[in-house]
Formats: sequence, C-alpha cells, structure tokens
Amino acid sequence: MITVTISPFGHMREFFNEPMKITIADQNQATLRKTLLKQFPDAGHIIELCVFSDEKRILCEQEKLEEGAKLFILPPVCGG
Amino acid sequence: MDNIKVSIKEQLSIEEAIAFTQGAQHGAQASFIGYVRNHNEGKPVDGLTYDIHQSLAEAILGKIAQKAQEKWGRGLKIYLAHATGYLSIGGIAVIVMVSSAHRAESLQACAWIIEEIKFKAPVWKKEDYMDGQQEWTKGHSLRKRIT
Repeated sequence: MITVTISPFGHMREFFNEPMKITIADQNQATLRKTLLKQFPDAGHIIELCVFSDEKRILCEQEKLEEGAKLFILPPVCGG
Repeated sequence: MDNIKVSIKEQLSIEEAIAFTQGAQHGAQASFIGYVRNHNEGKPVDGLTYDIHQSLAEAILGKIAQKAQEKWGRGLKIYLAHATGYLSIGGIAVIVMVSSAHRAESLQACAWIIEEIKFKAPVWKKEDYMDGQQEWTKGHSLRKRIT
C-alpha cells in the first residue's frame, strides 16, 4: 500500500478542488486511475483521458509511483 | 536555453516579446497572438479563466522552443508567453514570437509552435457565457501522446 497526494486541474476541479491524499494497493498508475474512477464515477469519461504528472514532467504510463509522491491529474488540454 | 524566453503570467506584453526577439542579425520576426473572442461554438462568451500547471507548462514550453531551434536553427530567438487567470474579451491569451535571419524559418517555426502549445501545454480554459453559465472547454488528451 502507498499513499500519494493528488491535485486537480481543469475539469477535474469540478470533482475535487484541493490536494487529496489517496491510498492505493500498489505502485501502478493503473491502480490509481481505477481508485479515482471508483471514487468519482461521474468523472469517468475525463479520468480515462487524464495523465498524471509531478511538478516538472508528465509520468510515463508504466512508471511506478513512490510513497508520498505529490502528483497532479491532467485532463485533456486546451491552451492558446 | 539560449535565445529562448518562456513565461506564464497574468498580463502579457507584446512590447516585451518584440524587444526580446529583436536583433541585428535577425531580419525577420513572425508572431501569433491569441486573443479572447466573444463567441465559441455559437455561444456568446463574456470572458474566460485559464488554469495552468505553471512549473510543468514552463518546462513543456521550453522543450517546444528548444525543439523548434533544433528544427529551424539555433539562431532562432523565441518568446513564448501564456496568460493565466481571468481574461475579458480582447485580452491577450498567448504570444508566440520568433525571429530569424530570413522569413521562412520564423514563419514556419511560429506556426509549428502554436500547434504544439495547443496540443501539449498543460493549460485548461473555463469559459463564462453571457447567460451566466460556465463550461470547461473540451481539449486534447495528453494520454495518447505519451504512450
């Protein structure tokens, strides 16, 4: 089990607007995604399209999460 | 990052972009300036708010600028700025300004950079409509771009 902190941007702010601690069964991003889907079923269509990042880079899908990591959930982007 | 300036801030300045990209060796300067328009998909827009992952956005804009220099030459001067927070109609949302010795490099790099920003920068836009409603604008998933 690991605990990470996740902060929202964009559309995800409609579902939680402050950094949130979340405990997951293993270090896989897929597990984090499933946990978020379970917690916010109405955001399913967005969560499926999101990626996770830290302060400086977008995580690769296969990258393992570390205990205590501070992460961000990034919905589809629309800059410019 | 030589000859590159990237920033995320509330008020953007065209004058600052021009000053940064001017140079005695640069005979061409191309720009894209994005403004907040008063309509989107048939709905009258009153203003909008940009939500930005600032540290990541600065890193990604920097990489986009470096890639442009790789493609069109290290001599390119590149200024990229994106607005954050609330903007009313006519507000400047984004500035891409590129200068080079000759026009082709600046024009091509400028057009390429704004497309990269649209699809890769961690920026989200919430529109305020004239009827009082608000909506996050649909965007482009980053997921398919990293797998």
